[in-house]
Parts: sequence; C-alpha cells; structure tokens
Amino acid sequence: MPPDPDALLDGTIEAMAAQLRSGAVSSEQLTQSALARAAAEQPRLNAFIRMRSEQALQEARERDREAARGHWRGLLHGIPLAHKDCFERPGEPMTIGSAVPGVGPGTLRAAALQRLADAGAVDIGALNMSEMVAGPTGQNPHFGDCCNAWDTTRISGGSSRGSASAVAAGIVPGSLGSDTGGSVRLPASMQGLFGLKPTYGRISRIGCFPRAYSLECVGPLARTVRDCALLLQAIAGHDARDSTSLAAPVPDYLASLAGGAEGTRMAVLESASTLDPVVAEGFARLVDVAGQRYGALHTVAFDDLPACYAMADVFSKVEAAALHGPWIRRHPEAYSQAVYSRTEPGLHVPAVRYLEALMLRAQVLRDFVSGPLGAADVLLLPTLPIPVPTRAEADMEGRGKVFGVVAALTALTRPFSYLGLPVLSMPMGLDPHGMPMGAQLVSRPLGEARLLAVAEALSADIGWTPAARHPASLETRNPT
Amino acid sequence: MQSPANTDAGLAAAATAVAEFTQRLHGISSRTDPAQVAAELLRLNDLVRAAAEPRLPVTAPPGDYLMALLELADPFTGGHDAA
Repeated sequence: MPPDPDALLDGTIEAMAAQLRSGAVSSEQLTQSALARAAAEQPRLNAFIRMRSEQALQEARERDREAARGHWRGLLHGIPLAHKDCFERPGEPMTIGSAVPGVGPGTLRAAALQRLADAGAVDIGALNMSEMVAGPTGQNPHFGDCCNAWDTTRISGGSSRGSASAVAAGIVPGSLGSDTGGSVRLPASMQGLFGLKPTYGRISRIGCFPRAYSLECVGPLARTVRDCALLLQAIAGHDARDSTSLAAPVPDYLASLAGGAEGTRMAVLESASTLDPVVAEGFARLVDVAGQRYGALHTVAFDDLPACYAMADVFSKVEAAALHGPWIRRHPEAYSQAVYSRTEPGLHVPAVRYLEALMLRAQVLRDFVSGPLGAADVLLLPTLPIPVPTRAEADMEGRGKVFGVVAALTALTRPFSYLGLPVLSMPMGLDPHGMPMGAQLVSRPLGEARLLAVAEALSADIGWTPAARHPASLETRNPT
Repeated sequence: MQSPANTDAGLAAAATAVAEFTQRLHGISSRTDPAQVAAELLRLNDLVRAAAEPRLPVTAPPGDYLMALLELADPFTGGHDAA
C-alpha cells in the first residue's frame, strides 16, 4: 500500500527521501500535501507571508522527471521546504516582514536557496518573520503575529518565527532562517526544534537581507539533528561573492554524527542572567545527563560576556540605523513603534565605540577560545532564561516596552553573535505548561560537526521524541 | 562604570542632545522618549568603553577577525573527510 504523503510530512527528511527514491511517493504528491497543510494551518499559525504554490509544483514535477531519468541529486531531492521572507528570489516579492514600499522584488536567488535548489529541494513559500529581521517575539503588526505551534497563546519566537512554526507544525521538515542575536535559536527553543546559528561566514549571505551585516548568519531549523545536518551540508561552504565567507573545508556532517563526538570535554558556561527556577531545573537535568556521557561538567565563566552582549547590540543598532535611515526618513509611518525605537539609539552611538567593538573582536574571540573554550570543547547554557512567555506578556509595541522585552529574551544568545561562534539550540525538555525549553551548545569556530554530534547523542539520552505539532497529531497524542 | 553622564543631570543632558540630534543630524523625527534612548545609549557606551579600555590600543585591523575564526577552528570532523 503506498504511503500517505501527508503522514510522511510528520517524519524526517531521510524517511521522505527513502519513499521518494523508491518511487512509492512523488515529489509532486509530497509538495501538494505540504501546500495543503500550509493552507490548513495558516488561520491557526499565520506562518506564511506568501505561498509559491505554482512554482513549487513546477519544481516538484521537474524533480520527479529527473528521478524518472535516473538523475537523483541526493537526500534533499524533491523535499518540500520553506524559508524566511528575507531571502531573495528573482522576480518575486520579498517583504522582510515590512510595510516599507519597494523593498522587493528580488534580483537574484539567495545563495543558500540556490544551494538547496541544486540539492533538489522544493521551495513552497516565504515564511512570516519579525519586521525588518528585528524582534525575538514573533510579533509583526503588518502581517500579524505568528503563533507557536505548541500553544497559540504563546510567542513563536523571532525573528525566524514562521520558520519555527512551519517546521514545528509539520508543514515542512526544515527551513532556513537567519540569526543576528538569537533569531534562529530563540524560535527553535520555543518550539522544540534544533536551530543552528553557524560560525559567522560559514554560510553565504548573498541575497539574505541583514539585520546587521557584522553579525548575521543564515541557519537551519529542523525537528531532528539529522535533518539539521542535511540542510547544513547543502548550504555550507565558501562563496567567492560574499566577502565575509570563510574558505574552510566542509565536513561530512551526517557521517560525523556517529559516535556522539566521544571524548568531547563539556562545561557549563556561567552567565550573569538569573534563570527562572523552571528553566534552571530543566537545565540541571540536562547537565546531569551530559555528565553521564561526557564526564562531570565543571562551570566556567567569562567576565566579558555582558560586554559581548553590549558590543553585539552596538553592531546591531548602528548598522540597522545606517541601513534603515533612508527608509525611515521617507516612510516613517511604515515602521512599527518597536523597530523604530530599537533603531533610534543606533543613530547616536559614538563612532569610536562602534570601531572599538569592531577592532577588539578578534582579541575578545581569542580570549574566549583560550578561556572557557580552552577548558572544554563544548559549552552548555540555556537558550532562554525564562519559560516561553504569552503573547500578552511579551508585547513589544507598548510604548517603552521594547528594550526590556528584547533584553530579557536575548540575554543568553546575543553574546555569541558578537563572538561569531557556532551555537546549536536543542530541546532539553518541557516546562510545567508543556512548553519546550532549549539549551545552547557552543563550540570553537567551525565546530558545527561536533555540536551536531553531541546534540544527537544528548537528545537520545534525554529521550527527546521529535513530533509535529498540528491539530490532528495533537488530538492523537493528548486525548485529554 | 559610573560616569558623570550617568547622574540625573548627565542623563538629562544626553536626553536633550538626543532630542536635538535625531532631527538635526539625521533628519528623523523621534518616536521614542529621549530619556529612554539616552539611557540605552549611555548603557551601551559605558559597557563598551569598560571592555575596550584595558585592551586598547589595538593596531590589528578589523579584518583580522575573519582570520581568527579560521585560525581557531575546531578540527573535529568525526573522522570523516570534507564532503
């Protein structure tokens, strides 16, 4: 009996690929199911800004024709994906979650999307996001809030909010987002996903609209480590057109998962942020499990972590002010209060402070690698210091609220954006409300293979079962 | 770091400057309480100054950062060569 394409969407990329390869299901069928799910879930989640139904089905049919000719591109061949609406697609609208007129259309295909297409993936649509790539909550007054697939009264996380909701709900098995201060990691944590902010420069940013070009990293979100590794494999690597792209070899991420990076030294990175007791308890359980596999974890500290946060904040605000200045002057009414307020301080930061942050970056990175990462190969800390807030609690549009909300949510993520280190957020369990909590794994530059291997091992050790969160699956799993 | 600017008078002066300069220097009408912008500005300024001071002078150009990422790379590949 042929598999149900809709049911396949609840599974992994490899499971879908096996059925596609055997001919039991076609890419067209799988893509049609993904599009149908996207439409069915849109009223509940508001994950999409724009569907590419016609283009996606054309791509899927072409993938099927290739497969029939024996041309198989790899495990992503024919797999439907969707991506944050900050990636250019030639001749197609790109909103960046903004009401500013004339932002799009795209003039080229973003490098990361092109690499996924070259690997055979199908692109079903542009996902909802925080306005102008700015905002950790998932709010967007122009396109409507995106909702958390686990509990629609709680924030989805941002700015890659649609990416997280679409993957968590089982619409697509993976998505690309972008991360400047936590924008892949936070929504991943809030929706029970694996979200990777790679090393700065690991993935080409050609055609990806930035929040801050000194910080931005394109990164995958997926329900499993293996799917995350597959997406990373397709998009990682040097791009000569991107002046910040690192000319570094790309490991075989999938093959590197075996063995769980045995022998890895792990430590807890202390932070000045106060953890909510629920998060602290969940994190302590993960630390205990990690200790059983990798040896007891000691605690390390880095006194300049708050300074790293501030320097990343300076980059973010100043670069955004420079980028958005012309648009703010011409179309002030098109900006939300939150984004406007967050951009204003960037106009006034002394140039010498910005340059200090820039000039010190290599030195601070060396200090961090010789310090905390001298004592351990992987550092562990929570992704979010608090349980997932409700949408009312995290409302940024209220006058004067934005700075506090952003600081509270990004306290543990933003410092690593300044350092440019790879960070993987993995699920570490559920809070008393049944909402996911996440932990960050941090390594040396270009340590993505190690991070993925450790996350694969630890998620098995804690018994994390990835599952799509859509109404049909929730009814089956939660009969009460 | 407690600086004279972080006194009430300093904050007020910074707020006045912010209110004036947003329009005068940048042609942008502020939509945010100048005192809040000023407080955020001073907070960032002081944190960066405190971190920078012991490390200055730095003569290496900013581009050294990308080289540092490569130099400090984790060699782990799980025993598997580059794809």
